Amino acid sequence: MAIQTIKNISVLILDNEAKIANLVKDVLIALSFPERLIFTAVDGYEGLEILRKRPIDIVVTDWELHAQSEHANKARTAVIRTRWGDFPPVNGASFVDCLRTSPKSPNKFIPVIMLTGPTQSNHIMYARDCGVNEILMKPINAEDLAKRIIAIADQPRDFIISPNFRGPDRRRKTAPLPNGVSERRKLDMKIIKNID
Amino acid sequence: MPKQIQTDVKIQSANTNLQNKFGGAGALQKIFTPERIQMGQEKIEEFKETYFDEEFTQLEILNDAAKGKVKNVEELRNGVKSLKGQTESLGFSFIMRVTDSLYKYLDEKTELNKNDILVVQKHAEAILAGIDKRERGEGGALEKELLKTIEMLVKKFSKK
Repeated sequence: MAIQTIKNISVLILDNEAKIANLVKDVLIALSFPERLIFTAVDGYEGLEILRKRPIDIVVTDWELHAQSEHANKARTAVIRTRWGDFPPVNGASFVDCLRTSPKSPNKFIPVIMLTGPTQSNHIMYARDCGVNEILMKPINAEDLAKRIIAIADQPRDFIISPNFRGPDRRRKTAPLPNGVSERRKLDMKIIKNID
Repeated sequence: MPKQIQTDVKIQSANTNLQNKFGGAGALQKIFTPERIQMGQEKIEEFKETYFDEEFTQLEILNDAAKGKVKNVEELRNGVKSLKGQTESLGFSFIMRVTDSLYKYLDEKTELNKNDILVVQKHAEAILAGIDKRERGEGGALEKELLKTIEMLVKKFSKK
């Protein structure tokens, strides 16, 4: 029986370290992603330029994502005004935040996997609240990366747009409510419309 | 009765477009075979094996820092950050911990006083020792001592 391969899925990898971005690319190629459809960027600015120019199916970004491409301002802490909106060049989560919330975002719904360092729960909460789909703890591991991609594809979540949050539904549990208890968030929530 | 606040929320229902592009439900489990995952992991292991054979652009700055010479704090910080990112991604715990400690210590510093130079020096010595030994893990007794010294110095001279 012929082994299936991936044909038309494009991936964007963002990492300040080109060596690491290329390593992730090699892992994806080993997993059968087509090499011609894997793109790398050294920071969020370059990433946004790539996203503007071509359709991307999945983004894999590092947490540490300081501005350093030719597209970025040299100042380390300034908020950068770009055509995508105000962009604090601090980290991958703020890149995702820009992707989810900027009116000029090339694709606010794109699934994002974020690589982050060991056990910093504040990073994880922040990343989740910026709209990241999946978190992948370092060190890089091929099996875990594969599992995150499977999760994105096979367990898609509703996309929420509210004043305080934009991103995949942060609630993963599907356990039923206790008897007689109403779903509190829906009491307070006015659903404008389904935007299918 | 608590005040109810209405929140306007739009919801786009989860779609299976990406799943379909991969070939439908369960297709990825067939694509990501154990052999392919193993191949991917081998790429990582190969990279880790040859990591210390590559030229380190940060070596000159670290060597100077180990001698107590820091020409440019920003350049040192960027070099350390780069090394930290790489070693964290690869799981080289000892070097990652030292570079992380130094990076945090240098945060927002534009000038270094005598004490800062000492702290930087000890960090640089530890990093160079790790690179020299090709330390890919947490290290042994020597590395533990180096970390202890560094932590003590950071605690003593850190202003935060």
